[in-house]
Amino acid sequence: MKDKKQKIKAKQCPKKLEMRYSVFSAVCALFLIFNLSFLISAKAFAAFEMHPASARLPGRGGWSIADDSLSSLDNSALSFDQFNWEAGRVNFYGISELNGGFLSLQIPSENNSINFIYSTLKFSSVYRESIYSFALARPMTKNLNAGLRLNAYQIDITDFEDGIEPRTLYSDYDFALLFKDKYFNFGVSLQSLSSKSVRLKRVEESADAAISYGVMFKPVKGAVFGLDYEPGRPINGGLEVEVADALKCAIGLRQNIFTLGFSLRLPRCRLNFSALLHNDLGETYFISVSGI
Amino acid sequence: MDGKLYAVFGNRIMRLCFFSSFVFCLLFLMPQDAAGGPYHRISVDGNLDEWAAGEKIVNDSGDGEVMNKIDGLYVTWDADNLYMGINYKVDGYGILLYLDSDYGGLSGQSDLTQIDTWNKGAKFSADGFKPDFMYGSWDGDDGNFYEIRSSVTASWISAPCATDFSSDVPGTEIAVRWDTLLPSGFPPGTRIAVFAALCDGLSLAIDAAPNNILVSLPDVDTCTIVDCDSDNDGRPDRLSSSDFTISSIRMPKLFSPNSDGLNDSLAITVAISQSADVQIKAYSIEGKKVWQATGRLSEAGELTVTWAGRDFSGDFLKNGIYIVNIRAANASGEEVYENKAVAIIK
Repeated sequence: MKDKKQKIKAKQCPKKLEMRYSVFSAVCALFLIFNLSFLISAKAFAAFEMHPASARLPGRGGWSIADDSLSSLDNSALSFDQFNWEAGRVNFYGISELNGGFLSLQIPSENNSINFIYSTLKFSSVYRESIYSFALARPMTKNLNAGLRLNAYQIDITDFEDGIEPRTLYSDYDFALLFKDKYFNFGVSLQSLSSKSVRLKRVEESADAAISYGVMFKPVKGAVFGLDYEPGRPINGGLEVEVADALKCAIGLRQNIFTLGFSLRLPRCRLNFSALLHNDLGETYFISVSGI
Repeated sequence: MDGKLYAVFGNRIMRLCFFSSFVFCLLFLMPQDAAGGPYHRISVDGNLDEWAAGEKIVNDSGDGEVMNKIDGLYVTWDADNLYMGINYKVDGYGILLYLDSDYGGLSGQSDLTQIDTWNKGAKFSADGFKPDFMYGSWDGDDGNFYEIRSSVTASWISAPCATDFSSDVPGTEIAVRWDTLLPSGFPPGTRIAVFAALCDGLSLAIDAAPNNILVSLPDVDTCTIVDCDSDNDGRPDRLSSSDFTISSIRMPKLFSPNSDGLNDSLAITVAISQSADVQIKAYSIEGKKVWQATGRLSEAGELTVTWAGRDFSGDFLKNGIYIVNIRAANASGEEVYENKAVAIIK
C-alpha cells in the first residue's frame, strides 16, 4: 500500500515540478519587465512605424508582442517549429505612389529560431525607407523565450536641395521576452536600443528607445485575441478566428483604426489579406503569400 | 461518436459566437457617420443664395427676375427636414405652393374649389398629383403652412417659413419635418411633387412654376416630381451634383522645415470645380492627425494653404512620410477628398 502511494507521488512529481517551473518563469519575466519599464518610456522614432512583416498582423489590429506564431518586427523572441516564408505588398491610403513590400523568412534550428525580415516603404522616386532585420530567439525555459534582433536601417532620398544626405544608414537592436502558456501568452519588447541620433539634412533626431507589452489569449482552439500596449500610444487589439478549416478571419483596432482581414489556406501556401479602414484617409490594403 | 461531434461542432459554434460578439462590440464602438451621409441643411431666412444649382427643380427664369413673377422652385432635404424654396417677388399679390408628400399615393385632394383656407379655385389634373399640404403667403409676409385634411378643410401646422425680398436671391424658404409630412414613416421609394402659383384676391393667376401645359389657371395640369429615395432604402437619399470634383492638387513631394530658408514650408494648392469649404489635414503614416487648416472658395478656382511642418502644439514634426488629406464640401453637402503624400526631411 505504501509502495503504491509512493509510486503515485513519483508520477505526480514531474507535473508539480513543471508547474513550479512555469510559475517561476512567469515571475522572472514579470520581474524583468517591470524593472526595464522604469528604464525606458520614450516614444518610438517616427519613421519605420508602418513597416509590415506579415499581412495577417494588420487585419487583427496589428498586435504581435505576445504572438507565438507570426513573424514580426515587434517581438524577436518568437520561436518556430518549421521553416516558413512570407512575401507581401501594401498600398497606403489609395496613394499610388506610396507602397511597401516585405519578405520574411523563419528558420528553425535545433535550439534556436532565426528570423530574417526585409521591409521597405517607398514614396515615388523621392524617398525610400528599408529595414534589414535578423533575429535570434532562444528558449530559456519551457515557457519562456528570449530574443535579440539586429536592425539595419537605410533611408534613400532624392537630391532635392543642398545638404541632403542621399543615403543614410544606421542600426540598433531589440530585446524581447515571450512567456507562453496553454491559454495565454505575455510578451515584452524593448526596441531601438543603443540607437544613435540620425541626421538626414541639418537637424539631428534621436531614434528613442521604446518598450511595448503584449498579451495574447487562446480561449478556445482556433481563436486568439490579444492586445499590445506602448506607453503614450493607443492600444492595438483584435481577434483572429478560424471560422472554417481553411479560412481565418480577423478584426481589430490599430491605433484607433478599424482593421479586418482573412487568411485562406491553399495547396502549399496561404493567401493573406488585410485592410485598415481609416475614417478620413480611406483604406490601406495588405496582401501576402506565405508558406504555412 | 456524439461526444466527438459535440467537440467538433461545439468548438466551431463557440468560435463563431466569439467572433460575432467581438465584431458586434467593435462595430458598436466605431464612430458612426451620420445616417445617410451628408445632406444640405438650409437656413430658413428667405434668402435663397445658399441653394445649389442642382437643387433648382423648376427654372422659370425666362420670365426675368421681375416683380410678380416666379423665377424658380427649389427642393432639398436633410435627414430630418424637407426644404422648399420659391424664388420670386410680388407686390399686391400672394403665392401658393402645393405639396404632394406621397406622389402617386392615395392620400391628398385634387379639387380644392371648396377648401376653407386659401381657396383660390385650384383643381389638379396632373397624373398622380394630389396635394396633401400647402403654403400660402400674401404680399411678402412669411406665410403659413397647412395640412389639407379634406377637400373642404385645411389646418395650420407648425413649420418654419420666411420671406425676404431684399436679398440677392429673393423669395420664400420653408422647412417641414419629414415626420410631419409622412407621420407613418419614410416609405422606401418616396417621391414628392410640388407646384407653385401666384394668386390675386380671387384665384391662382399671373404666373406658375412649372407652367401649365394645356389649361389656364386656376386649373393646373402639371407638377414637378422629385425622387427622394431613389435607392429604395427607406431613408432620404444623399444629395449629389455630378460635376463637383477636386480638379488638381499641386504640392512638392518633399520639404524641409528646419528654418534654413530653403523649402521650409509646404504650399498646397487645390483647384475645385465649385464653391466649397475646404479642409486640409495632415496625418502621420500611421493615421494620426498632426495638423489641420481650413479655407473657403466662394467660386470655382484655386486655394493655396501653407503648412510649416509643425504639429498642433507648434513643434516641428519628425522626419518621415506624412499624408495630406484634402476634403471639400459644396453647398449641397456633397464631399470629395483626395490624399497626397509628402516627405519631411530636416
